Amino acid sequence: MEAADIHIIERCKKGDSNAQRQVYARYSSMMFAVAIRYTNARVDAEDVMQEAWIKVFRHIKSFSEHNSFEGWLRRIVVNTAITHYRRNQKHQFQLDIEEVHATPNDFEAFKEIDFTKDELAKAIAQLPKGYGMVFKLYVIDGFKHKEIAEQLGIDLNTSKSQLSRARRYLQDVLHAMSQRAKKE
Amino acid sequence: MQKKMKNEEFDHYIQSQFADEAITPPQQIEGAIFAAMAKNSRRKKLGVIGTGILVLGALAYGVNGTMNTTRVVTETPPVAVPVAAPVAMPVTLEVLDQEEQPIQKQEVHDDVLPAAAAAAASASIVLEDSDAVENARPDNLEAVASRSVQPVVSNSQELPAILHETDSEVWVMPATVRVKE
Repeated sequence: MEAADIHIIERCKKGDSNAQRQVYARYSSMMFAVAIRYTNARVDAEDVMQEAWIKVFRHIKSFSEHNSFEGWLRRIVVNTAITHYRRNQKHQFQLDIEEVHATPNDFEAFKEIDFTKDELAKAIAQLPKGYGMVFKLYVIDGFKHKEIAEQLGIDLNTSKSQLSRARRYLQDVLHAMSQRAKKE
Repeated sequence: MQKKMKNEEFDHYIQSQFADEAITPPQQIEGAIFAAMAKNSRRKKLGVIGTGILVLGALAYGVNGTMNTTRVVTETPPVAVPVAAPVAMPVTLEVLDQEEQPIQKQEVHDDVLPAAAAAAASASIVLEDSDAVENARPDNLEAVASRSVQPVVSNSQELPAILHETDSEVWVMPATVRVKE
């Protein structure tokens, strides 16, 4: 971490509102993208964003300069999104598991992975909420299955099986997308 | 093994695609966040002030308590008695009912009489005195009137002293008026 960043964080720890605004200006785009990725809705993302930033400034004293500040912020917004998800989608989560059937294909079917970021984001957004949550936490944000199980309040094996199903589902979606692209 | 590697490759590819994700948030969010922060800090300040007032109040009460420890100690027993009294009430009432007759007998005995008789005697004495005063009032008033003539007229030099002594008693003056008649 650069000395200038450490200085701004130190000022934030002292409650300097100018420093807080500087930090916000620098990292708010990243935070909002993460919030949108988890909520799939702008309105919900705005709620998550607001809640996450208040947590950031309230708990910034606990941040150690030896760690990555961006990583710390990312964790906070992800955890806030999980709380938001659990608060609003508690009952739908179980339905996702029963309703969605995994496809028989796997990723070996793809010789090359050639999708743009937006296409991938759209495909991931199509994942059922339960699967999508596990997939995003594990693949994009680097959570371990144990952490995912704790955060979502599910069994460790459920986390693993959902990731497997999410991969298959995503592969099916991407396969359909590539077929459509070939036809066009 | 080969399949597992494929999964890892795919995961790595996805991760790299989202590494620098950024979407500009609406501007009103910033205002909402910092307004909420300001509100929280105001609440915190009020909380600190409130706590300070409570601490000061507690300290002041504590200081008063240490200064008036003797008064507090003397006041506590009467508070404790009514709390225990309702619990012991039925038992004590029965005991009192049983012990009521012997107590009355003891009052009848002569040992108790001196105190009671003295009290009764003093009461009768008071009554007798008051009756005597009421019966003898007209004569005494005349006697007082005849007596009060001489000191006022003959001992005029002593008047200032008498007036000084009875300065607060206003009724002394009308007595001198009667003397003139």
